[in-house]
Amino acid sequence: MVIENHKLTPVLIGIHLVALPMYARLPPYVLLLIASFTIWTLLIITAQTKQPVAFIRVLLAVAVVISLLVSYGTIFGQQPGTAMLLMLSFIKLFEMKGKRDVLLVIFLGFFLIATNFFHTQSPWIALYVFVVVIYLTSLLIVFNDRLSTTSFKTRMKISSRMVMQSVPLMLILFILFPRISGPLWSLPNDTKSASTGVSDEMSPGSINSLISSGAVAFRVQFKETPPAKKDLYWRGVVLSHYDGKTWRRDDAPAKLHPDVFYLSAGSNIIEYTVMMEPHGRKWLYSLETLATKIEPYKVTRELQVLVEEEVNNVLSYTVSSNLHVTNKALYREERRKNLLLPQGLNQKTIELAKQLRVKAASDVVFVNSVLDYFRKQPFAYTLSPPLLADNAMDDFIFNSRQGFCEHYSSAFVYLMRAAGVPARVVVGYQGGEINPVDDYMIVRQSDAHAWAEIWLDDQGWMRVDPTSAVSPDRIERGITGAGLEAGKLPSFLVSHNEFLLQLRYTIDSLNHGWNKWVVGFDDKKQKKLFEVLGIENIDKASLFSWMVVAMTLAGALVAWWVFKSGCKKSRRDVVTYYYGIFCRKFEKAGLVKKATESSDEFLHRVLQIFPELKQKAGAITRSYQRMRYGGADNDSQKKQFILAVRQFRVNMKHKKNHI
Amino acid sequence: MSFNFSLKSFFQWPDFARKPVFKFISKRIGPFDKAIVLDRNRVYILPTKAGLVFLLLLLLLLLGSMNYNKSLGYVLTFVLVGLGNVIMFSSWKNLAGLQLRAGGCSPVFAGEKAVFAVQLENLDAENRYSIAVTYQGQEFEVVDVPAEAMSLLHFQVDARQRGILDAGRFRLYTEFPAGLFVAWTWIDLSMQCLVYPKPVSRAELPVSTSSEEGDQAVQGSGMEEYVGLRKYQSGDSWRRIAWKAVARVDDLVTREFSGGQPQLQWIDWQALPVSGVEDRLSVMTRLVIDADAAGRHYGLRFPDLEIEPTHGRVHYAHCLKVLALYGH
Repeated sequence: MVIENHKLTPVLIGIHLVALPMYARLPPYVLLLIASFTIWTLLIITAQTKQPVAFIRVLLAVAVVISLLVSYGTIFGQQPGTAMLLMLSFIKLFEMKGKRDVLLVIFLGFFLIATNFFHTQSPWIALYVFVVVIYLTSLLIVFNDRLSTTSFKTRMKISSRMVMQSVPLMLILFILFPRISGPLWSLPNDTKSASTGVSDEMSPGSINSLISSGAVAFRVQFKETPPAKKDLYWRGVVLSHYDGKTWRRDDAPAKLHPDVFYLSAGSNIIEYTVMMEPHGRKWLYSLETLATKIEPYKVTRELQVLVEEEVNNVLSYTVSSNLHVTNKALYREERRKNLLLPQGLNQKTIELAKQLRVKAASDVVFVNSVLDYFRKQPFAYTLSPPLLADNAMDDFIFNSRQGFCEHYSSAFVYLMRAAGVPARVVVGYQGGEINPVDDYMIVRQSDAHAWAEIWLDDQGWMRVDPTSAVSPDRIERGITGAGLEAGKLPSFLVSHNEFLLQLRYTIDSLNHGWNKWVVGFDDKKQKKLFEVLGIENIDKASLFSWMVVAMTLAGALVAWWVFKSGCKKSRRDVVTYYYGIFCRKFEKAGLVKKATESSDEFLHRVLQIFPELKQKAGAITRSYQRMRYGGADNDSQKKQFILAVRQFRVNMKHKKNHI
Repeated sequence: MSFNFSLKSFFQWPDFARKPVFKFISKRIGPFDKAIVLDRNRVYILPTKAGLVFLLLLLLLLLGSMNYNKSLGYVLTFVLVGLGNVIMFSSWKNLAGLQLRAGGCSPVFAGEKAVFAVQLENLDAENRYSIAVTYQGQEFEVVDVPAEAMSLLHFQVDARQRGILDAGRFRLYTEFPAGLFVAWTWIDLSMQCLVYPKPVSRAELPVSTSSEEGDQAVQGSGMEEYVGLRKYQSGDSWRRIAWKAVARVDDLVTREFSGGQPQLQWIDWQALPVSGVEDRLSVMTRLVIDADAAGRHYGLRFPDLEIEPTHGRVHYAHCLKVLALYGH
């Protein structure tokens, strides 16, 4: 079968539909190549140029591979792999010889569309993929409709019906297919989605760059009432090492991670479930102070919750925290490293710290006097602080005095360490807004925050948030209530349109449900589902047998559905059907109605052999003609007709005479 | 005990296109005299090569979804699994429920191809697309059968010998809608075709040895005299119709010739210059064709049978049929 050029147009559209969500991620030269391939294909379709010869095609493919090698360094891995497959399918359009080539491109399309899920698994992309699957299926029909009689509309109708009919089986497999935890093979580096959100390095500007994003960092469902806003400190990572510019992690060695959880659970426990959006990092967030271990994740001495692999999927975990306890263990090495300062920098700051400490009676008094210093001097809380000089702390504290939470927390920790109080920076999120539609909390990137933690010998690690000294509103009323530049905040967060607010909450709760039940559906959810049905601790084998049973049932259901849809007899068809029965009654007598014969001609032949049937056969033929062609077919007429056909008999005595 | 087992044949895809592979199939393929509806026992289905590639795609997608733990990857994979399942049913349904009836077949001469017609009737309210017919592995025609409508499919069979040619079983198949599955059926509608003997390329009628009116008849050819026109009668040769006169009077008129007698010709088995039954029949066939073309009256004389001389389409067909079935 030779593929006509004009049939390439829908395939070209199909590839573009598949590639559409990727365009934003592809490097510009790949987009340029795709554009030129498209124009080339269009020229071929409009017969202005011929298909390039094999040599040119091979050359193009080699060029594509080389260019990808140059820009990515490899052709393996998700990004370059996707780009290569995409461009090869465009080149494949140049050598459409038969159905096989087209099917290959369509199958490739099914494969490529799945790579979008590396980046997002939102309901919108799901909807889009669903539509593209319908379109690609209709392409399959284009190349199997050998007489090209179907219209676009018919093909879309057939393919969307088929995709709809495949939903029951999909649901069963989705719910019952045993999930494995952990990857089958180690992931190549670039299959991980880009890291977003709070990072484990902090320098001036690294947090306030997050504030303009309204993206959801995670959603939290509290078992009981959520705590007050000022207590919502979502601890992420602890930064202990400072080089004069950037704060970095300096975790205690793994052997010192607490084996036995040493924080007493006690009373005032808050239990909640976090649905983490994929952020491409290896830690999770919990309210301060974490009160239990979270299996199977690791809790470090610094009370960071770490995961083995980057979080590339929606991840849900249930945690307990206690707002009223502190981490009371200090490892010797921890004291030393949380007092370190870069040498020879910020002499004025160190001087200030020493002065304030000398005046103070205790560490606690000293902390308050530092906070007072921030309060009383003209410090400003702003999203657009000026750049700082080499001696960043001196410049900030004595000169610019404009900063965001990262400035205040790091200046505070610096002052503490200079005065001999072990201190470190904690980054995470502060605050969160309740979605009234579904009663859960949304924590956004704009809630990103940095604060300080100091060691007091009698109280343990105490949280101090110097930002609250400068801008108490930030803590009490959240980021939007802190009087920051409205233009730098996510616009939808500062809008006061009641309708939009409601819409936003509704859409977010939809997303939440989607994450909970679709994206976050895993073996735990499977277990839970069966517990609801009264089956405890279902194992993979029995899950599998359940799946087989359900698939068989669904298969039967779908078969019935598929067949039913064709066997609907139209109103007219009942008449045709019974006329067929009428005609077949003569078959035994050797009279067969030919396909080319009209009902009148057939009647004529019948009457030659069975003249005595003139009345009955004539009446049936006439009423058949009336209903079939005359448009008169009310129900009573039809019933009469059916009855007449049923009662009609052919006398077989004539059979012999005739033959 | 020996096992006649060849590894190659074991791994080879059975040739479903050329012959029914399993014995039980033969029972369901007929022959049937009347119209038959392709019910579920008669339609077979298997994945095509493209279908196997699709299966590979599903496996890849499943592995990817498992490895990267992408829920939507699972969803897409399982939608495609369901789609494959629905496509299987749809391909099957595209053929099952179709009503088949033998169409006609015009007689042919041996050495020609007999064209058999199969009438496909779609009793359902849904169109059927791209149904093809193959005979002995060769594909002949593709048709659509719209809802509640009929279509004709034709296939050709080499008519090698005179007599009755049984079409035997043929194969209908479809890959619609997606080309992932092929659904097919083997059917024998007991279709038959009359095959006339193969005429020799040239033959002269020898002078008849019989003493009766044959002499004149043979020599009379070409010597007739035109006497006038008369109304066309069924059986008159088309060559004798006075077309110019037809244009005038709006009715078929035949030129009538005299010469006392119509041309008369006996084609006599005994008088032929060849021996052997088939050779004689071939020569006689040629002579019948020539005589009919020339518009002569002719009769056949066999050792055990005689066909009175006359002319016309019916006579022509009758003579050829007798020649075709002679001795059967």
